[in-house]
Amino acid sequence: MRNRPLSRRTLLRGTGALLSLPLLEAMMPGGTRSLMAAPIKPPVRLGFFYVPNGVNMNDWRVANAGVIGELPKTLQPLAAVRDKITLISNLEAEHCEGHEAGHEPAGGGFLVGQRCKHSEEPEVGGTSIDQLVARKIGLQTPIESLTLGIDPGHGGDHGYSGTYLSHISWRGKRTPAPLELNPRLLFERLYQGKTPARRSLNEASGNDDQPASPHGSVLDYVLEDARALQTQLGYNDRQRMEDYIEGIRSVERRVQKASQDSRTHHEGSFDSDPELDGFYRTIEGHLPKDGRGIPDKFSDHVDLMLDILALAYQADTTRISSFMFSYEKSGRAYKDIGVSGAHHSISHHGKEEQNLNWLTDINRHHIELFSRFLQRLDAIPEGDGTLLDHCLFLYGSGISDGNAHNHDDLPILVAGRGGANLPGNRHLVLPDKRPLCDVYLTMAQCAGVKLESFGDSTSPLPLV
Amino acid sequence: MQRFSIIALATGLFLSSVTNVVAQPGRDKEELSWDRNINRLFSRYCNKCHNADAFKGDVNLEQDKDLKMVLDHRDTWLKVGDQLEFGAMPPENSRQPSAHEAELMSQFIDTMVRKIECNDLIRPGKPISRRLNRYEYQNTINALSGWKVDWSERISPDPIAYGFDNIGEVMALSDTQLQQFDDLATEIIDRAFDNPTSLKVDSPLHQLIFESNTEFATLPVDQADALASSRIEQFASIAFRRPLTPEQSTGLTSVYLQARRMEETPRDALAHTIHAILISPRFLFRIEKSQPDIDEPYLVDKYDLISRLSFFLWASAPDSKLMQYAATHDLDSFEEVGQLAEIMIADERVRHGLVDRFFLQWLRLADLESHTVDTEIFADFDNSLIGDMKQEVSETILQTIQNDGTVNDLLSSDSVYVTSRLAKFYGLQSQFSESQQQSTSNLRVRKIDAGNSGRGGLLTSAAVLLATADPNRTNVPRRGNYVAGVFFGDPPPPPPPGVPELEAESESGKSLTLREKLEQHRANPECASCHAKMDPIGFALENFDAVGRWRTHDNGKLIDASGELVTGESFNDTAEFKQIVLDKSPQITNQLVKQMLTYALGRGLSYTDECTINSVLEAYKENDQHLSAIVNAIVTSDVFRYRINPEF
Repeated sequence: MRNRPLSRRTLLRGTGALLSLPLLEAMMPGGTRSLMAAPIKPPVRLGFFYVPNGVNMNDWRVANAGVIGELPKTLQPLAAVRDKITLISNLEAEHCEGHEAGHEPAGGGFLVGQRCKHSEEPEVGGTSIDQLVARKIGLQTPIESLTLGIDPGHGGDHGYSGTYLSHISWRGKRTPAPLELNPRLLFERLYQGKTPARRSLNEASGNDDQPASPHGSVLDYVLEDARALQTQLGYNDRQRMEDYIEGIRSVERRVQKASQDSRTHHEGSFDSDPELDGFYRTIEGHLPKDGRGIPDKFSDHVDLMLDILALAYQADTTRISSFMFSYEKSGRAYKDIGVSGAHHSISHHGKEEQNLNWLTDINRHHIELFSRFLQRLDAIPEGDGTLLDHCLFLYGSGISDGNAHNHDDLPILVAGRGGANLPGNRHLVLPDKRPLCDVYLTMAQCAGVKLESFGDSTSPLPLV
Repeated sequence: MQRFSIIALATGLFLSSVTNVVAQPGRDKEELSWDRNINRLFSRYCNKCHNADAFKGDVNLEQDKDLKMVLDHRDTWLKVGDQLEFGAMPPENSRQPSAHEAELMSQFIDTMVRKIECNDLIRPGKPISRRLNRYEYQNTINALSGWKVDWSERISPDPIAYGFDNIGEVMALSDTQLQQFDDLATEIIDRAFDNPTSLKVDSPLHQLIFESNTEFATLPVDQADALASSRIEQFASIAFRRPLTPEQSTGLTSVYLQARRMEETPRDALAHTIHAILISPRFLFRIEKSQPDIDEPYLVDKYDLISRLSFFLWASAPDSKLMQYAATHDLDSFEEVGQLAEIMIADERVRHGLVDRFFLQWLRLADLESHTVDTEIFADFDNSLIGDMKQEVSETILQTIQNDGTVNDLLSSDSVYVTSRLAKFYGLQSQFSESQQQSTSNLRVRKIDAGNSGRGGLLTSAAVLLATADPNRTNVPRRGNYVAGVFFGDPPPPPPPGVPELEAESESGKSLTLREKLEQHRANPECASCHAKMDPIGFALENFDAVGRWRTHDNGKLIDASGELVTGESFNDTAEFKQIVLDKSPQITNQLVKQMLTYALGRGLSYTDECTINSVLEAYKENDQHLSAIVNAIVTSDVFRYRINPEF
């Protein structure tokens, strides 16, 4: 029984939105399209999708360069979106080479392009590409970027921190971006019970004055206190308080930006999206209500996380993400698809047919789930094409053949058109080995981030 | 007072002591001088393979340019000493030092690296404010409320270093986490206000919310506000783990009053204030008090010491009783700290603290639930057994620690702590009565005789055997790697890149057994040295299948669990192997102490911690090898009780 007329939760969620909305607009029915300028170009969204333990390269490779003919077994599930897939061969990630450790630097260094330090306190040498881009363009959205995964990872081995295995996204050279694994909580954090709507890109981004609200004064208080505390602390701790203060700002921003997500604001900004609300409700319906909020089945878990990600891209809640199908060196058992044994053990296939077949099954399963996500995005109209046309995703592993732990000849593909009419259905074979970071450079530039170099990059790839 | 004079003395000696540790031998021992001779010898005979590029055996000696760096990598150099002594290195086919040179190299390691001067110098390590990890957060919220809610699932996994999730250096905070904590604060407060009777009577949240609410109804508004601010102060001092300064009190009261001015009811204003407390850096971080203008180490503030004890032993913030204890005691002698620790070790909260967070992470069993079993092969395996297996380990540790057990008791024991389900799995169901096997009581853990089941202790517990197997089969090298790494503290280096393949068939076309395959594998010198360390251990445990069940045959063939460890001991079966492990208990205890100290301090160890490790081992021996003596020696050690100012 609630005595309070309006729950605090509702109040927190409600006040920002109500107060910051221009009153007239808020009350206007839809159809303000005519007042708007011509649709502007939708933003480019980036994503980085990681699969651990390498793949069975026999079933990944495409023989000829140029237009892709028959899809290899592992990639067949991509048939429906093949026009928006570019396979890239001859990429290497030399920085993923560890001191006699194949997996740790492959995961930890994948998006960083520097050598991981061989130590129990992780140090990857820099900020990962997703976090770097997020820092440049993430402030335009309620959430800077998403770092998603399925499994929590494990303790590490051989004097390497376990964090190398479980994190590809790094906020700084020593700080992994925290992984979100729980779809229910992710969904609540992003939308706080409010249906999202696409934001108008034509609008000036509201005023920064927080409306006076009790929650506002709570945030003011902790900020002030953190500042006071900071003066008494040592150098490292002051840095930590700086992170804290930044975190509180992000809490404020979330409330503030989310309140601009009003239904009336997005009308006519670019294509209308009658499906958005339905999509939101569908996901809400799929969220496990009881227990941990995580589906038992691997594929359900992945689907749900990727659905939320699709929604976040669609509603422009964020423009950057990374996603790990599992942690590097994962021993996950894929019994749902009839694979016996642990993924990592299988990846050390010893050329045994059984292991290679199982490995292909696992690789193909991941691709299937990825393809479902791509198809979902491709069904959402946006601007003069689909949402997928304005995405640029990288999918792959930091290891090529799990049996050999080699970090060249990497299995990498790019999906989406990056808002730049990437032709797709192509196999790009690089004449010489090129660092993986060259792809990141291209992707960052596509998203409008000026970057001269990144990691061990040489020059952007001629993707278009 | 005496303590201080020692410190003063030690500090006075600080500079000279440091140079003492890394002092160069005098002219008469010039041959043992690193700069003049030893460095050259290692460069000549070792660094061709052990440099940054070749990095053979996961060892780089070339990077250690001076004695300070050698000491920083002390563990590696101690292993170098062992290798030289055994004559295992340099390998036969490479350039060999003369007998005299080899002697000098060994002697250098013995005198300059192995021996550490343990003087009164206290080196507490670099201090850093640490965020609560997700389990500490969960236990703390549950302690504030009396709930038993799994909050940890709602927070992103914490970074892991040295195998633990509480290492200060890596426990940073990001936007995502702060948003999660902000969401959690809302959820916690809603839960408490919506259902105040769910709060445990006398819990801090109960006092704040339930009692205040009852009284608000009867009081005039201004008196309600006064009551609220005093209650808030009381609650905040528990949540912030120290008494509030007047400024902090005023700050929190002003949050409350501001909300009241916005026409909130006292109740809603209270909710906002609790929100402020739950997202405050003083709650989310463990921030210890510095003593400005003191250069040397000092006894940590008593409230900080109470927090150190509480987070170490209970993985939770101190409760109001401990806070009260701190308020009325000085806590400046190690006797006093030791007495308090004894009371805390006897408390049930050790289960979710030291046992679940330290021991299970050390044993790599913390995430055992995520282990999958291939149910096509093990059709009758009941997944809920995994929880029972984990419980057996927790219970074994808890009982050993609380009832004066030893490290040996932990490893091997005549009795097991099992549910009736697990007893059945172990073939020990006869010790459970019919009625105990039925119904709800089968979830209760009972201590029963292990008989000749080969069970009892961690080594042959189903949990360990399951965790080190694949879903569908046992994994011999992995089990070996586990025992060598976790227990012996001597893990083999990682496999070299481009691992050669295991041939499925011999040249004659006969398909090979796993043992034959691994033997073939070991014929390759590149694989041999590591697999010789792992495989014999793994084979010793082959009588336990991939779910940890006893078996005599594998694929119709009788299992041969005999073997010889790389260190020379041979055994015929699991029981004999277990005995060999028990004989190695000093080595295992050493490893346990190192790990526990890492966890207790929340930081990686350095060579200066060797003195603490030795004194803890000493205390263990002096106290009849009681496991609890290790815990007690750690909390009464100087490194645990002292602090040094951070760099400003």
